[in-house]
Amino acid sequence: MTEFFAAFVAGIAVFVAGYFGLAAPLGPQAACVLGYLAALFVFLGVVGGAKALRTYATGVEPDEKHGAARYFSFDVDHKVVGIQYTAAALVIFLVGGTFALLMRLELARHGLQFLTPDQYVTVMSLHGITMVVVALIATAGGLGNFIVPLQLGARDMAFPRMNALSFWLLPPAVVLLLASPLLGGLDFGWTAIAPLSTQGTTIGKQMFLLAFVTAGFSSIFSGVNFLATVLTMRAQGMGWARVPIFTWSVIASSIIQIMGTSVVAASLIMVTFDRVLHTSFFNAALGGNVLLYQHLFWYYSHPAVYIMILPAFGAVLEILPVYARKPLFAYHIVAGALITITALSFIVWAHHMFTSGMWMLLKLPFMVNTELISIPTGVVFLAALGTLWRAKIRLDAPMLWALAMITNFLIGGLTGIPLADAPTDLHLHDTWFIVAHFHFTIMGGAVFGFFAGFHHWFPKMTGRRLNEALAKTQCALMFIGFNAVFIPLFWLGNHGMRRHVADFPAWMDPVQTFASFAALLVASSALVFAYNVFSSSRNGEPAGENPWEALTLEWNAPSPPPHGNFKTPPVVTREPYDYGVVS
Amino acid sequence: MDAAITMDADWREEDGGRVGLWLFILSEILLFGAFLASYVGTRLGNTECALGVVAWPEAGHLPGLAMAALNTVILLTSSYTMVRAIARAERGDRAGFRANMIATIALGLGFLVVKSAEYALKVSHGYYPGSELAKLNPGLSIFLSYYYALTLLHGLHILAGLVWNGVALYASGDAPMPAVARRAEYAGLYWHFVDVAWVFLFPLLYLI
Repeated sequence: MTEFFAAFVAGIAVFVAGYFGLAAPLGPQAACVLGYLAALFVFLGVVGGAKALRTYATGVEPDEKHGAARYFSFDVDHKVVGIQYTAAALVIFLVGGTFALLMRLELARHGLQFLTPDQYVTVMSLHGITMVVVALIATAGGLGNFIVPLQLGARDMAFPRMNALSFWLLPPAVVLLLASPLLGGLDFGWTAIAPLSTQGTTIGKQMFLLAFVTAGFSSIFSGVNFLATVLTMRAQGMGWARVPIFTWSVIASSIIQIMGTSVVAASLIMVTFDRVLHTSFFNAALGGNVLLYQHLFWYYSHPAVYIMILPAFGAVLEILPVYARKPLFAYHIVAGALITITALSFIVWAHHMFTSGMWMLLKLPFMVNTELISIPTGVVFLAALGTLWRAKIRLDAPMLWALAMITNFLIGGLTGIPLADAPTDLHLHDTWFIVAHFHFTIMGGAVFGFFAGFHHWFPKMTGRRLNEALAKTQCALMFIGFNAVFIPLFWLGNHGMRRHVADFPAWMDPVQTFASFAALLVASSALVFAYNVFSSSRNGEPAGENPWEALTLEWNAPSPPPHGNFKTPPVVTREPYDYGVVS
Repeated sequence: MDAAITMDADWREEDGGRVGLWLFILSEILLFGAFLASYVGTRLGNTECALGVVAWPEAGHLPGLAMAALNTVILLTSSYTMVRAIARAERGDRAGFRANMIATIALGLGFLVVKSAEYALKVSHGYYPGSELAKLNPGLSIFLSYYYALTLLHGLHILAGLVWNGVALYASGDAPMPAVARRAEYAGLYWHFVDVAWVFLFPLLYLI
């Protein structure tokens, strides 16, 4: 813990020194970039990176910490990193949710209540980017780091030190994002679209770019780590046809993290160079190409939604067989479908650009490619329904969350079709219809899927069970509140309510006020959740090894698993979902 | 000594290092690929702008071509010494490994020195983004944007490779030779990637 705070103070001190002193003659933009890079290295070094590098070079392991201090240190155990990711995601989720509430309060009626249009856009941008971070790290980073090595029967990830590094890159990025409103704010949404992002001299914009690149590095390291782990550390007998579906989904998202993130990093580096070094990548007057930014950005940022949703799908598909007591329907085909979605996700990006003025003829292939994705997604859906078909369902809290996720995602998926079709998209582009569609897939899908997984694996992570009644109350509140907020948004969007604006005509008032009240339901569900986690992790009923009578390998380890996970190396002799066959 | 080497034989774990490094290099290829594809696409596509025709600079038009050619020779030679270093380490020849690794690091440093001189030469002639010359000539401005971005990015990779090589060298003092050879192989993989990246940059930025 002291290390953590020391590292933090040192990092900020270096930044301030760079900004006001050493690098100041270069101008505020360059000083900010150099100060941040120096501060980042100092922070990582002090928090534990220097020790880790020494271990690599000399092979001498540092002393292990115990108790709560582990969670504030550069700990290399995948279970600690998993809990760090999960806790960080939940904290950021609360922050991002607070931004959402601020927006909803501002939007409760027409006219401006307490935010100026500029402040509204800053709050909106921060809500967007913090929640994107949450959706990217919660399921794959948090649950994935904890569960994937256990599901594979491994002792840890392939690169434990790099795992710790990928987590510790996140706190500087998040602090930087949250500092940006104090430094002039940002007005370009969560997409940093050029030329809006290359113009204007506020430091807040530059902070956003640096934070995004830092989080990108974290994501690449994490993806490399997961894939190397799955490729080299599966237990004896675990062929590819026996890898659990949640791990398959993490494989899929890792492929996107490796193949996509560096491209968006390139575009953000170009914006930084345009701001700091006066290059002209996105300056049409000096030979640059403005649309290039959107191509590079969406080449990553469309697949990025699959980084968010695929692990959530994996968690839900992992959960359904356990509580339906049936094998996962068409397991092999579902694994194939996840990989197919991954492959297709890289050739659909320009459907975000139908109104951008790009070359007309590009619209057709991108429209068709986008619609092709609905085939493997439909397969995943059918598998979920097939698993439930004629099953004797146990309605425990994780199952409730999983069913809620499937319901939400159905709406999210179907409303995606008019957005994929270029003719209807011309009408719906940049309206709240898109906002509602996106939230149904990412909040209704990825976040509900994360909560399903969280409730399912919480007993494994802590050794205690969550309070069922509270968990079900939270699920009901969130499901009803979420749908009540976002279903009206489809209607408003279709009637011309545009995004990024704080004001609207008075006739929208009743619907807007309704959505704002419904947002309070979602907020109250978060409070129920926080109370449940705090009380159950201390006083919850002991869970035992396998409270849900599940068959995947992680339930063979003690709860919580000790250092090294398994007492003896597990040997896999059957498929992962033989419910009704062996039990 | 090294945890990854004294592994319990019952655990089915291979050394994930090689796989992980290739995956990381894949991601690096896409980073350079994004810049190069943008460069080629912009160069082919942006032939005119608000100020008129975008005239991209001709091959060898800018000062510093000879230095870049020298740098190409330096880097290719460093790849050779790197291969020798790995081969010596695998044979268990500690002194041979160290000598060749030192040569590789020296060549890498040489590359950075020549590169800095080349930047200084270009800047002294006004060839940098935001200069008066570049502001009047859109083709030059956008070319210099890609030139500096790509070479700076590559220079940073050289620097990272030098740190990696330095760690492999530092750790080879008394470590068992299989561990030295493993670290040498990983450092070498990365170094070769940085070399190959230059092989793409050189013709695209200096010869067309």
